[in-house]
Amino acid sequence: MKKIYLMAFMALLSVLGAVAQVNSNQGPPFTFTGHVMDEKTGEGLIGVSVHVRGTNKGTSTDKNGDFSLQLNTGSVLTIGYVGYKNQTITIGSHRSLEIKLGIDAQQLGEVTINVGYGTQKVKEVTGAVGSITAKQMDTHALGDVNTSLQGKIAGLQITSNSGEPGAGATVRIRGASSVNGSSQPLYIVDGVPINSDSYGGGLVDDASTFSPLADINPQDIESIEVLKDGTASIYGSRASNGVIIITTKSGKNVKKPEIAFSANASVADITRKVGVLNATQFRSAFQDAVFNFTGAQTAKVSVIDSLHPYYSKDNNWQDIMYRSALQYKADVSVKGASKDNNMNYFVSAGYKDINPIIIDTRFKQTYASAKVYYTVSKTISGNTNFNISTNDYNRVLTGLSNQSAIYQALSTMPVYSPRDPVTGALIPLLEGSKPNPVAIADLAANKINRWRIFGNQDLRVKLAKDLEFKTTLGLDYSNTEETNFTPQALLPQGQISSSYLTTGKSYSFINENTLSYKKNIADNHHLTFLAGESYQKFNDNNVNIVGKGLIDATITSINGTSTVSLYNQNIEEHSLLSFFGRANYDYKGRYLFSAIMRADGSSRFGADNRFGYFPSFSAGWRISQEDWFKKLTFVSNAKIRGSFGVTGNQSIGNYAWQGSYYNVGTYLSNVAIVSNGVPNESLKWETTKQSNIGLDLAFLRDRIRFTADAYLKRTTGLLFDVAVPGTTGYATVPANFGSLENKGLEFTLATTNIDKALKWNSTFTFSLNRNKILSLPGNQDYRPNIYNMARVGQPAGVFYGLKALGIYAYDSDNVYQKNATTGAVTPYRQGSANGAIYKGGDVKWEDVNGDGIINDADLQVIGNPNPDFTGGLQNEFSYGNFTLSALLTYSIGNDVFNEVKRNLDATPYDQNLSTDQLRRWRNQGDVTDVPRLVKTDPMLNYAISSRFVEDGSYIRLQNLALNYRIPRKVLTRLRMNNANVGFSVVNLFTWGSYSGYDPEVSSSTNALAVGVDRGSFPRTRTYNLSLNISL
Amino acid sequence: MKLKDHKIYSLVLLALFAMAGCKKTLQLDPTTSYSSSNFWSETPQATAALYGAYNLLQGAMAPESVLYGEGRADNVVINPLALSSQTLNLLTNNLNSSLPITSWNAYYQVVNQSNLILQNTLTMKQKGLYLGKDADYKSVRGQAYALRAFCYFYMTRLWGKLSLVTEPLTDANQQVNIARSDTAAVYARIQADLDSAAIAPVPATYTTASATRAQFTMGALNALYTDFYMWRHQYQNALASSQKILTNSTYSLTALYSASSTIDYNVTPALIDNTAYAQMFTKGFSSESIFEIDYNFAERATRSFLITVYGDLGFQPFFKASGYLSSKFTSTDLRSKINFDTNSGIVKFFEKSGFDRSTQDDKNIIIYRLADIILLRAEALNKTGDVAGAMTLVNQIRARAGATVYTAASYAGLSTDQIEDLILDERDRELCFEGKRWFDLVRTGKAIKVMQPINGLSQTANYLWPISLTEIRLNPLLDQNSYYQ
Repeated sequence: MKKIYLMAFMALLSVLGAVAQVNSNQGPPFTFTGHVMDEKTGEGLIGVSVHVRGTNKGTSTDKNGDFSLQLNTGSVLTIGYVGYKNQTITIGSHRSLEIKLGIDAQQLGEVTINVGYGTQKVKEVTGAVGSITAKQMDTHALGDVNTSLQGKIAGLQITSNSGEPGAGATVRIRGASSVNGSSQPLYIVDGVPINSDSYGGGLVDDASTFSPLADINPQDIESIEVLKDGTASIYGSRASNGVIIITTKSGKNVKKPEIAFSANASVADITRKVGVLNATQFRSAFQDAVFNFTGAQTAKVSVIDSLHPYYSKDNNWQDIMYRSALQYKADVSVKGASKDNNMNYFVSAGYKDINPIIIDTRFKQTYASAKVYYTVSKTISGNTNFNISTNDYNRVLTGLSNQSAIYQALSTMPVYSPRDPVTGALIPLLEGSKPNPVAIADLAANKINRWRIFGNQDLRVKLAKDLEFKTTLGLDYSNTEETNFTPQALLPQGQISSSYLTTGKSYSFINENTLSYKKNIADNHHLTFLAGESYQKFNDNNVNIVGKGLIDATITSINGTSTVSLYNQNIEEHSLLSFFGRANYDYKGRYLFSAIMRADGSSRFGADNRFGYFPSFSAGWRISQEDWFKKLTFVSNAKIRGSFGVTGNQSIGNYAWQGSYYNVGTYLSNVAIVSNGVPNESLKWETTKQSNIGLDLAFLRDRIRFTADAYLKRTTGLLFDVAVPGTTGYATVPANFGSLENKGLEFTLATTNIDKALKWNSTFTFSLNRNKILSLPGNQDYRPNIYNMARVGQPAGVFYGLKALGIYAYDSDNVYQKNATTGAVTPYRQGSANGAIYKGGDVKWEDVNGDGIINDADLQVIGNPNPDFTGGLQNEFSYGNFTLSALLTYSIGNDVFNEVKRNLDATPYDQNLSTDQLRRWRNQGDVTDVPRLVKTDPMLNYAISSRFVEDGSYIRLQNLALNYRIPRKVLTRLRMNNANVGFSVVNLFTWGSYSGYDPEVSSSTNALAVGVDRGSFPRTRTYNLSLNISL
Repeated sequence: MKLKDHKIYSLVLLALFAMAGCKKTLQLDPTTSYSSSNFWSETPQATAALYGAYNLLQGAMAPESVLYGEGRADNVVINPLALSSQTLNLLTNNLNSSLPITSWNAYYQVVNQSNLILQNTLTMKQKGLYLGKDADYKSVRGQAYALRAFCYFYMTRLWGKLSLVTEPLTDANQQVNIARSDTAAVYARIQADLDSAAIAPVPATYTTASATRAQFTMGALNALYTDFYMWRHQYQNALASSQKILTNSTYSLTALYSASSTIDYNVTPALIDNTAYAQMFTKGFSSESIFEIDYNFAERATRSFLITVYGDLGFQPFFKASGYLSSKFTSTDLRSKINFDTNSGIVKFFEKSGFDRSTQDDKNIIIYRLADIILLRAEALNKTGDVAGAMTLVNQIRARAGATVYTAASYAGLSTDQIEDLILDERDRELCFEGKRWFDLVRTGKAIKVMQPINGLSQTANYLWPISLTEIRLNPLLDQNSYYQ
């Protein structure tokens, strides 16, 4: 392989040599016009220098990339532009030519990336930093920041929570290093930490979470960097889960205003439907369930009377509830700069109108942003940057409740009709008790109304030649109003109609001041210093009002209620005060050193534990700069990196250390106050120590680029609301407990496979992480919920439960012990020595302790929600004006707990069942894997067990896009600079064996509550048509 | 350096120092809730904490008191239209530790709140905060003791051995895993708390009529004493404490049957709503009430959720009245008109006409009323040999309901056990659906006799309920009750 590339490279060199050797012929002068453009994007390049060889004649291109010169036949032009390969062109007798410049891979090392409080050239970076640019994100026009990062950076695992617009995601950088609620990375936008805590769908039972990152228009993003290792300690206390740095677009170096417009229209569909029984199958299963329980046939009219006008249908409710939905997005932006580059700007606006795939839902979002850079004097410059977004969402509830449209679409009996067959009117409660999912979508009102503004203002002062002072003021203000209304018509039993209102205002203010100093000594010693201080204060102000007893569904707000059952205002503040410094030194660009120290003080801890110290040290050796190495010409870059750093985490309640008493309501009209939080004065920072070794290699003039990293992360003093026994009177207490470890490997391989008329580039990422709990209090198992647990030596959040060995075919198969002489059989019993005896059709459980009783003592680890490895493969082919790109993402080796199926089939209520029930045990001797169906499940065959643990591995064709660039001839006529039309399919296909809607399941961002499918909004497949124009 | 530069430098330094001076801004205290450092600093806070304990008790009893007290007994059967499977587990005596009803957390919340009150009011008194407010101090502490005694008594009847927590959790680093103490220690704790409440003492009455019925009073404490002594089979003690209630003029039986009345409730059953007896359940705070838990829809929509367990069968309540119970009523006994409708729907707690399900599901849950204590006393009298005295009390309850009274001849020659059966049947007719039946059956040792034919209950170890799985998993020192091991 290497040989082939080497030969190709040599061939290329000889061609270039031949070109250079062509002699120029003199002739009469004529006007030559040329157009210089980026060979990849086709965009005209502005300010490219054009020089006529052997003369002092030259010019540069204008705003469209055009130039004209007086030339003679056979003149030779040299074209040069920063960041691009130089080109030499013999014009021959051409009067005009299109000149395509390719990006100079050799200069990739010169590209700067953001490493926190400053940038560094890629070649000088000593930490483990992943990076992508706008070009790598753009293919997914309707996605958000998180989805556009999926599969592109090694070590970054993103699991979106659902297919809902604006859905939250579980973002893990190198595994879960915390077990608390928000073990998410820190997000920095244009230097300012922004609020990234997910928010829920209101005060009601709902499985959805939404990400504040959806407030950022992906179209505005220029680049994203991910700090993965200990060098993230420059962000100290909040960096133990990594840092994601987002830089937005600017108008830098844009000499002439450029107007860009893009439009996207999509059709969205559900990717697959979950198998549930049809009417005939359901009737039979339901009758079996009742008969097996009571010994008598059911009298339920809807089940036994298949000719009844109301119950004669055979509906798959998923067909009724899901639709093909139209979605649109449009963006417009303008950027430009003054001629002297003393001022530049970028302004944009976007609008998104999405119809989610569930009926009667709607989502609209608008964005606007502005970024302006200006120079006040020779020494003072400033930057102003603001983003505004609003969204408006009419949704349905998700999860497993009886008001969840998602779950009711699966569980509603197929014999029901949504509408009265006689009058055509909607039936809110089917058979008087089951909420009709169509009526839920139509009558209930669940809304999210949000707006947000965030931005910053910075001022830089050059104090001396190499000394710069920078001060930044940033703010982030959001307002989220959520309303939930459930009408009386949808409520069975004694429940009353309710209306919920929650208004959350979230405000943060930040001031940061830094001094940076750069010094080169004798050209060989390069030094940079950074010292800074930061203060950030957060204020959250929530008002919750719940009203009950609305008389109708006309006024759905709290104004319609007869009584207010809850009203409270909750104001919480917290603040961070930090001091930090960084020193970088390199010798001749060969030996690189960096040291960081940060001290963070947080109001979330008691006075004695307030400050935490987060140092890091890293070093790099650019072997390829050594003289002896330069002989190996096929290696264009080689660098070894190493780092060690300490980072922290402060994700715990704002006042957790102080304890809490709150007004819970009244008793006999007197204020009632209860204690709801236990103080912990010794609460302190959670700390993560991480070591990293990395290797960057590039071959054949960077046509093959390879990066490998290995890391070991240890987190101690895990900060967590630890579940405690109910005898304490509390559910949880805040504490630092236990420790865990993440270790892993990451590889990124980027190659230019073909570089001719047809170009083919690939990027392959691979991440492997192994998580292990190292210690717990008393080293006892910790089980915060009924699915996941923490056990020393196991990965965080493994599933635990009973292990199924099969189904008893005959009653007589249940043999615990058999007396050899008498032949008397002692059978296995359920629950206790007095428990019922398992019979044919019951599940045979593994009796771990061998006592003949199946109970809690037999629970064991039955699955692991953490994947063995994850990553992606991006391929891009371009030929002429066509570009075809395909992104595959994969996650291999993770388990999913299918709680949706367990809920459907456990039959506590009258509802439809999964198609697994077609295989149910019916008669003695049946050999199957699905137990006998008995209403109420007295033998607990549907207990949490290995029967619901499924392989969640998948390979997904996440994005397939075909793009066509309109030829320049047409563009000139249309007075356009650039135009593209594209067709893409997002989430086209998923290979995997999971039987639910989608194997990408993220029930919670909490590492101890992951991988449980609880009925979230199904992921969609979208077919997109897009148009991008720039003028 | 130029002057301009100096200016800039000093600005920079100023900014840095200004921020460094902000160190105290790291001390942020909550403004919309209290913290441990500013609560317990004024006496109204302690009073609010006491109401907090009652508020927690509200949550603990609604409608769990029905499931605990009736779910495993013979007064109710499943409403075939009901949707919950947990009630079926109870009715068929197929309990397991995964059922939500096995959680004791709500009662321990009341215990912890009481512990907080007891510990902190003591400190507050030492600081002089209760100077001149002695009555207030005694009232708050007395009620806290009584609430703790009530919760431990309620819990030990369900789960037997209990983790005895008498100190509040005030620091997250405190030991949270506490093993169970045997019932002797639990009883000793209850006795001590009852005595502390009596010594405090809890007030005899409060300024409002509703508080006198819905907060712990001396009368309520004596009712709890009586119940506790009966459970321990300490009949002399029970007689002494019940006597204090019978002689307390705060409590009198509500009227139901009147010989002079011309109303035929068979013709106009809704008129029974007007009787004081019916209103004891529908309106609450009756003269017969000794201790009840108040629920008020107008106050933050507080509900007792009785309509989820009882009421019109068409609305899928869990239960309907059993034939075992309805056959115990004679035709003249007006209580049958109070208790159920013609479909065996349980309507004891609801207005027979004009009941609004959405706003009137706030019926108070009666913990103790005079008829209950009278019949417990009858039981104690019977056990101590005073059959005539016992039957006088039984007849007092029967006459009030319009049932024919037992003549001396009718019970002559019956054994103590047979008399106890008579009293127990009377308790059943009088107190059915009020969450008493299961405890009556266990206390008198008749649970197996009554329930075996119905659901196969056959072992006394099965009287106790299983401890919740979640709790056992969180606390390795807990042992499961033997029947469920």
